[in-house]
Amino acid sequence: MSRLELSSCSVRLSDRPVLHDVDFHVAGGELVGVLGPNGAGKSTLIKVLAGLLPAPGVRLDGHKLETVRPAERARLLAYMPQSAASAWPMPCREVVALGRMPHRRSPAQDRRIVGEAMDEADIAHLASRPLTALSGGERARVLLARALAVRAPVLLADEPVAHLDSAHQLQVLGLLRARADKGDAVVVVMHDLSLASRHCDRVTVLDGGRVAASGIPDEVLDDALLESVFGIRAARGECGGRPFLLPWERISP
Amino acid sequence: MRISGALLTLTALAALGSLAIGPADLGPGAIMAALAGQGDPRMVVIVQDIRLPRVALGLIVGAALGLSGAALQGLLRNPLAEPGIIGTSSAAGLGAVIALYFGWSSVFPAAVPVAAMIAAAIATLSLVVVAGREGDTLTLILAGIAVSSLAVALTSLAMNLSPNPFALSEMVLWLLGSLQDRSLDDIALAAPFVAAGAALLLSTGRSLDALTLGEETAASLGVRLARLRLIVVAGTALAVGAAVAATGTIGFVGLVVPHLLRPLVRHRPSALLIPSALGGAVLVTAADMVVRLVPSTSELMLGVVTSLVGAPFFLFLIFRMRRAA
Repeated sequence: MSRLELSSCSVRLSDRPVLHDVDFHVAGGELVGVLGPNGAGKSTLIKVLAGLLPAPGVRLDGHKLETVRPAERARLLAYMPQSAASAWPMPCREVVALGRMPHRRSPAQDRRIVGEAMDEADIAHLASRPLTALSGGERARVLLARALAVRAPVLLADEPVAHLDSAHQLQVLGLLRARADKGDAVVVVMHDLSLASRHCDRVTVLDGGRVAASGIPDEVLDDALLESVFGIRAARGECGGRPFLLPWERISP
Repeated sequence: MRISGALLTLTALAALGSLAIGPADLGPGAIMAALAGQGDPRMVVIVQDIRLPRVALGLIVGAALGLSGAALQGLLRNPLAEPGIIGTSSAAGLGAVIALYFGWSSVFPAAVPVAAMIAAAIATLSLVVVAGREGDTLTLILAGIAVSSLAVALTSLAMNLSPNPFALSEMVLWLLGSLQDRSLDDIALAAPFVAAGAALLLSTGRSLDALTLGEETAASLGVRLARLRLIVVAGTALAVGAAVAATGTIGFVGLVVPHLLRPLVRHRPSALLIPSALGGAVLVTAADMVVRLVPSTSELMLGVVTSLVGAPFFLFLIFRMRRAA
């Protein structure tokens, strides 16, 4: 089981502090949500975790991430960026196959894994369509399949459900849940508090580059935090014996 | 693979066709015999010493330009990147002219290609630094115009101050590009550098594929971006610098060829590299045949012909990209 952790990390981007003294950890078997208002530092945090922004204090299975060779890191950490415009109208199958790049295995095995990843993301029917011709939701699923095809023990996804319809949001979160249940460590940046509280094992809430709270969703996302960090009040209820929350109204500052 | 095979056949046919063009009327059989050093000794001299260097240099230069175009487009994620448009070729021409102007070539025979390659490296590197990150077309083209205008202005200055008319006419050649009157020495000077550059560029295929989805995705897949940029810049500078030093600037080959071949390789940058090299070789050889077949008082310059075809094509591409956006 992999474990990715970050201790007291501070990051400045073009001289502006973006993360301040952030602690974070995720272990195999967990689905952890990163929440926060726009500009809170969520994408920066996930890029630091992915090793794309050099920052001290990131450890993967106890090793400093900056000492892991890029080729090795690419096999251990799969990263799905928030947006990725394709420079060329490459067919989706080829896009998903990019996920096999860090591995030097047999073409037959690569083809099988690419096929599985496309099935998981429900995009098998798009295999020969060019990525540039797809809708936002379809494209997001192709990019997720690309990340899944890496078959890395740690999966980092930046807003994988932002552009999806409700059915596909639930499908993708179910998929990420399944990866976690199989032993992967999964980190998801998301905006939808209802989905986060429903699907994540733990959430970390960022506000202005600092960790505002971290823990089990039902405990973290209380009324005080929703008001102070997000400026909203939530409606709460219960469905099938599980509590849920629904962002209800904005609290005027 | 099938595309490369077809292009290889096309390259061989173009080379044979080009060998057949000239004042002495030679059939395919006579050409093959002369290539093998058999038959009429005068024909052997014509084919081996006059026609073969021209054809071989055309193939080498065309391959260098086509391959560099494909690699630059992959790196910059932009179909308009091309050694001619972004100023690499004109900078290489400037380097060659500087070496000539100061008479370095009489001291050190490789001075012209070396100066061309250094100038090409400086131009390409500055462009990648300015426009490499975002893949933004406007920045790329504007930076390319700036680099290329500066190179052309400095080349013109060298011509302006040129000490004698003979040197002037030699410098003009670097602006127009031609395969006329080349010898095996020219090939011996260009081929090793082009080969080294091509080897560097061909090693980048998988990384260029990963770049299709942007720099973040590529980095997450283990691509070392700084290293990749350096390899493409060095490879382009070697290949284009040596090519331009031998033949002058031949524009638009690296633009037209990858564009035409890209759909045939399912738009994969890695699968485009070898076909673009072959396609470039075919295009330059074919254009050089046109140059010699068009009846005119003095031979047309090859670079003029490729630009006459390429520049409208460039406009058409911009038009299409604008419509798509």
